[in-house]
Amino acid sequence: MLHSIQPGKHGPFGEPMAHAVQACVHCGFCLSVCPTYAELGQEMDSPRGRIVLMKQVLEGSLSWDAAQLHIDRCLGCLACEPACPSGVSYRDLIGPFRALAGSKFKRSGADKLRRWLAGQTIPYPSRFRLSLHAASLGRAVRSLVPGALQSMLDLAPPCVPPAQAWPRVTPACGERRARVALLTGCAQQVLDPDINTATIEVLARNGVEVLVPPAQGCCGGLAWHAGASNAAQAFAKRNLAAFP
Amino acid sequence: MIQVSALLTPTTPAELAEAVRSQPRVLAVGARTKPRLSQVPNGATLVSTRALRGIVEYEPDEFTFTALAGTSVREIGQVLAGKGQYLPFDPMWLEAGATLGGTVAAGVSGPGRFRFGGVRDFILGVRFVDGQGRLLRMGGKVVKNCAGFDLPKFFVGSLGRYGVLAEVTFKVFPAPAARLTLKLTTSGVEAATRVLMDAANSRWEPDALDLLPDGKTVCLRLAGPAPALETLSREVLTRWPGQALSTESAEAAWSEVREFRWAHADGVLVKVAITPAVVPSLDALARSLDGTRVHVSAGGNVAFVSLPSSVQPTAWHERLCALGLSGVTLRGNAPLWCGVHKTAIASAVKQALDPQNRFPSTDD
Amino acid sequence: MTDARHRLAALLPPDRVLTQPEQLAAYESDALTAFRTCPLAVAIPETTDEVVKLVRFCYQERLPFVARGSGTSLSGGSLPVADGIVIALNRLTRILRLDPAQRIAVVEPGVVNAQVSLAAAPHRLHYAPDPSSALICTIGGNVAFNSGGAHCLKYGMTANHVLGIKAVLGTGEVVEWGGASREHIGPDWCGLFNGNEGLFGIALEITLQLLPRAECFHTVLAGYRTLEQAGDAVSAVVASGLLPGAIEIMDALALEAAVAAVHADYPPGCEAVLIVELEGPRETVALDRVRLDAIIAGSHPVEMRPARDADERLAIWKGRKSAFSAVGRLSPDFIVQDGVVPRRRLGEALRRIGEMAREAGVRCANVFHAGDGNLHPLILYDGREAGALQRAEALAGRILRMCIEMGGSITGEHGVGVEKLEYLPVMFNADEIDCMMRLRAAFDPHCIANPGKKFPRAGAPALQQRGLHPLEKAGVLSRE
Repeated sequence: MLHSIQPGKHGPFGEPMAHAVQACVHCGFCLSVCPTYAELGQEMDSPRGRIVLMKQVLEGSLSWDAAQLHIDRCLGCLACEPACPSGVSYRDLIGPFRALAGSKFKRSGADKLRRWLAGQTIPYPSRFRLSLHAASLGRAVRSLVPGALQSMLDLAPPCVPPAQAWPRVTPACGERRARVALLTGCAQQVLDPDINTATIEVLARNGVEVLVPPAQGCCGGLAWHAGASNAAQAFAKRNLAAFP
Repeated sequence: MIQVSALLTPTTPAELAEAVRSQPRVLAVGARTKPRLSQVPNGATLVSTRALRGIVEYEPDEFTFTALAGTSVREIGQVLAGKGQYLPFDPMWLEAGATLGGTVAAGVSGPGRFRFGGVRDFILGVRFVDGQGRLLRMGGKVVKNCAGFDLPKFFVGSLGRYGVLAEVTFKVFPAPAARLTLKLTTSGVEAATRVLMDAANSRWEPDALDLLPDGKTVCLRLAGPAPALETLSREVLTRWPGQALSTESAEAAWSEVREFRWAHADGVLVKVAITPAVVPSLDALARSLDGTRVHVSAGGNVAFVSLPSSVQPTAWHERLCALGLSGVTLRGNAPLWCGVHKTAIASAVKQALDPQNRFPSTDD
Repeated sequence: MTDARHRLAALLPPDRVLTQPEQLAAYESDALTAFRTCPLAVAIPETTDEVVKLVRFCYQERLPFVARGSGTSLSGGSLPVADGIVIALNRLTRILRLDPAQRIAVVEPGVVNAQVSLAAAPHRLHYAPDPSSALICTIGGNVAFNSGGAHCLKYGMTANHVLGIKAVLGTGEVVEWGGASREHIGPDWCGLFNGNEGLFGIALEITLQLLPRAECFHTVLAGYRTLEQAGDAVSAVVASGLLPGAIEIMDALALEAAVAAVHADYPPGCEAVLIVELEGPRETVALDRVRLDAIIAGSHPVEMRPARDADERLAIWKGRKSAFSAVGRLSPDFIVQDGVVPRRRLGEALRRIGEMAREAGVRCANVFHAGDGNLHPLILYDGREAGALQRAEALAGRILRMCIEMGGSITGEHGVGVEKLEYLPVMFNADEIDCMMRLRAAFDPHCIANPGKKFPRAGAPALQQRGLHPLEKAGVLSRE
């Protein structure tokens, strides 16, 4: 799509964002797979529509305010990417855009609280587990919980599996064919620790030695998707240091 | 009812336009195989297309031909056959000399329309004379075209009330390598209707699927390479009792359908748009009016109803409308339309194409 | 005008009348991105009654409206008008009736094309017209543009599968034409409505014909050293008397894009790739495929690959169907053309397109329905380059003129829309355009139904020479 974005004006993210906008030919194939378009049935809540909005904000013809609702609504699920015949790298547009929007989007107190809470708990397995236990208690007195937090309460799973620990080194069974380091993740290891356990087992049985670096943490994905780019970079740097 | 004035016989499209311009009220007629369509109450100068004949262009490679409106469908069939091509919709009244223009204006397709479509699905372009006497071209001469409005399709079934066709361009298909017709016997119209629906849903891709006036014999025609047809027909006959017809018998059977020899020579002949589900009701209606014969074609999508002269058209009319069906009378003294509702847009379009009402009213 | 917007807001709940800049911006264009216009408002009805209310409101207010399905038109068919509204039909997604025994489906205009076949699949039926955008384009849009697809030669276009239409016209009148029968009585109103490009009104309920899914397919992919050879192969197939379901050709540039986009496994280093597909009962296909394979083999392909199973068949088609959009990888911008030439002159047409493109210094990829001579030159340009869009449009115009000169058409299936309306007078003379305008005026006397499309605007040569059109003098229509 033709655009008049000046990449230099938007820092190091300017170039990938402009490139993504350019690649879009507005064909609409992404509408067929976008969950928010299926649910809300309007162009602004489709990848194609969001690309137009982000393009106009970056060009300066639309205010950040105006685009906020629809950009916030994007799930970041990236179902649109494989559906796109032109190869638009939507992730390279929505991610940076949200990072830039961090300072520009206005948020209500309740919204800020939710985002802060999520950012302080989910990326930290022990904190997350604790907050999910608290949520189970909170559900009993749901009506007393502030409205701002009720939606989060409702999303919490009814029960939390017991924590599991994984050895620093799991040797390969039989001849060692390869060696990997496993990212144990943050939310996943709380919600379904069996996934990591099963992964280690399958790898080991197939002759792969598995290391679980102890100093690792959340990859920073959650922070990045929420537009908190500084936090995202901090998490990422930590993992870069933790992995050999 | 007919006011016979001088019969004009133009030989070229330009002469046709001239003929139309020269008269305040005109109606084109072809071979008069559907005479009711040219019976108009207030009279009109009849313009015959019998001298407006000839194939103007034929490109077998392109699957298209253009012919003057008065060309007989028989002649067209012969020329196409010479190049191994055909009009899949089995133009009707071939031996009776029907013209291609008349076929379009009447909107009558034969049994072969079941597989690939009827007249409307093969017409590509027209040259016609409008109500202002202008010779205009609409559509195109290639098989794929959507520039402008699809007036060529609109003319199919328009009975010359919106314009006079001078020339028509059609798409053709390669003729099938072979054909095989099966006559299937059923216990009655309900069973026959189920056969129509099941065969239409089958893997065999029937070429034609008709129910004869006896209300229980289904004619199923297959087309394709001969060895394949042998196998397919055996499978059909395992499913339903019947027999494969010889080439001669098949030709005779379809010829009877094509020339309407099953219908009463006098009396009323009506084309009715139906769906398979109403076939039994239509059959019952026919039986209640003594002597009425019905031929169901295109898998139960069209019925030709023949009333003997002893049956009052009004009785039939009312009952047909009560079934929620619509039809047009092709022969005999009966109202032209059955169950067709007037719309404001029809008057507006008539006004647009024929502001001076040169052509007969669409009401009759 | 704000007054009209207020009255419009009274017709629908506030969240379904969009007027904010960010909302309107999202609707300013369809798949023809060279044109963008913000409408006054976007109305999102959820029932056909609401659609009728909206159109009648527009009629009373003389407010132009543009109907929009998924906004995938390649000719600007759903480009808004600045002083009008968009009526978005994408929420009318109900399949009202599916009757497998009589093989029909009755759908609302917002139903996605591919959804019809999906709904019919359990009954081994399908809806035949398959434009490349089938996964997202809507039936309402298909009807408005008489959309085609790869299987048109054997199965025809949308119009050949529409049995009935209930529509609200530009006058506000609601009409019902046809129904469940394949036969029609009287003139073919449904046939006339298909391809009206929104100038007659909006379809509310559409009765579609469903066909049994073919039992068996035989799909052959063949690569050729030159486009000529591919074209000759097509001629040989056509001359043989076989009637394939589809015959498609892609040239080197289009191939490059498709391979990049969907990792299509096409033969490398070919200047053209031919796809021919037979379908039918297995006994018929078994015999026909022998003939087809012999013909293709005899046409000296570099490589010939029959699909061995359903997956391979789908893979062959995936590349072809993504070709238009995939070209977005080769170039920032492009114009998709849609011309038709007599099939036997395809080779010549492609040669001339190549020459014209070289002269203009513009790259052009080619994808086309070889079976019916319908070309889709994809003219590549970079909008940031000064004059590039103009050069591309100039080339597009020359290609269209060439098509007309060869006895073809300016549009096989994408419609005239905004994109080609300047060329309509090259194909039709003034009287013919007058006839069509009169017809349009019968359906839409206030000229509010998708105005500015299909017919040349003021300034087009034909109109300029004639001065005020008689209908303008009569006050029936006015220039947009």
